[in-house]
Amino acid sequence: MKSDLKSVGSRFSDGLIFQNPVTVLLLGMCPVMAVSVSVFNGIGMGLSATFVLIFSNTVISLLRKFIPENVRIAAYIVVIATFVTIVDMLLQAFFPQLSKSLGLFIPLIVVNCIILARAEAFARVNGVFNSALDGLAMGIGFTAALIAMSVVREALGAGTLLGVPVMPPGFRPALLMGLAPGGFITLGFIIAAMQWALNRRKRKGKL
Amino acid sequence: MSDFEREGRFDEASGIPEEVSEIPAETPADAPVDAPADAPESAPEDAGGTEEQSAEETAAAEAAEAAAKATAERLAKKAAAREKRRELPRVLAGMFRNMPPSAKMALSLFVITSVSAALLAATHILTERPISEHRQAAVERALAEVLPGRAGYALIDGAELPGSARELYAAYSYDGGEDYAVNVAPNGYGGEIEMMVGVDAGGSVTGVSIVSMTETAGLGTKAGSPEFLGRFTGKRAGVSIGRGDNDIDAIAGATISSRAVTTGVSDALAAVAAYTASSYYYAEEGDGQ
Repeated sequence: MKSDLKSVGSRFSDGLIFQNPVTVLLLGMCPVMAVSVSVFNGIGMGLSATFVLIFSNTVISLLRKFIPENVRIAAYIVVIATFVTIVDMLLQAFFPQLSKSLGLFIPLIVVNCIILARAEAFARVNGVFNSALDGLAMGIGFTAALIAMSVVREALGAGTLLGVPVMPPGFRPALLMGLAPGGFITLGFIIAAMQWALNRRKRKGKL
Repeated sequence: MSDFEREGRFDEASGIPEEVSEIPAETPADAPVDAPADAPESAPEDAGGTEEQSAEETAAAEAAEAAAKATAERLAKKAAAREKRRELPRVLAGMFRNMPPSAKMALSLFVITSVSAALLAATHILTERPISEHRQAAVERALAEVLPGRAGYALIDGAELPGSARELYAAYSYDGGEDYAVNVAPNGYGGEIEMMVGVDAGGSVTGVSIVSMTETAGLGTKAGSPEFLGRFTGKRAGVSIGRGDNDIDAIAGATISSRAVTTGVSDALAAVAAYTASSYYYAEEGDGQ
């Protein structure tokens, strides 16, 4: 029981910090750059990817003895594509606003490296419970990174947060922040801040 | 389990049906497990009994042995029942394990894709109606925006649709007039821009409304702003980017998106021109008879 709790904790600390898919593993940069221009899109993308991650990790872990090595990537892609298509259809049907603004990026979750990477690196060799947990933790880490980036980019690039103006009158939005270069600059600063905080903790631990 | 697997691989080579070899393979595997468990318990008691030769002790030992036997039997029965319950999955797993690798790959992909297809079909049935309702609502909103205050709208089937035009609607006024709206989807910078273009009976644009677009936020999306779309009102066939009377000023930094919207509008005008020309032709033919 104690070791279980410990592994639950380490799943979450890995997903959020030490192995954060965006700021540490640097996986799935394409949707991150494209979607993090607004907080609304960032949250939507993060939650959709989390949903897909949990289900694909669970199913792939359940089938890990059934799927032959040689065709595992094909099998994983089918499983992932199925869940992505289900998410896409559900969003179109019940959250048309979100579906409209995320547009092409939902179908593209299929090729988001985070999901295939977790299937290949974790769910393939771990139990169902841990795999589902890993999906949840990685999804939360992905969402958190997207929110952090989109808060900066929406505030500076459009002067709003979730569509509500937050900047003082006379603020001129920096167009750069809404484009890919602004995304990379923001990501760089976030990674730097995170590494600084982690290293400081490490140094303090040693002293 | 390793015995079982070895047996399986042997079968694979010899081609003996799996079920025949499997059932006998399991029984001996269980028997040795029960036997050693009993033996060590009874052996030391017997060794102690030979020295003292006490009748009571022999009786006690016999009773213990009988009890142990009964327990063992009960356990064996339980194990057999458990075995029976597990038989089908085990036989299936055995069959799967005994397959040649190519068949294994094909079967596992077949099963996964079939289940996936079933799941997708179920989701499709669940979401089909809401999705088409949303689309219908978006189209109706766009129609009402480009041709406001009309008595009704109707989709014209079989109309000729040049370029990026997808659907042609007729809008009926209360006074009997007929205007048109065309759903067009030209290619922009980030995919198709779906929009509705209203065209009056005289062939000039009454309004343009974006149904959906995936242009770059902050740049391309400006081509969907009311300010830009308003520039099209009153334009006629041949509208393009430029400086003339019938031309549109492109948005700086969003040339591709501006051009796409202009293409859409010009396709819509062409669709309406083609439709009105053909319907006049039919009307004249009808008058002549």
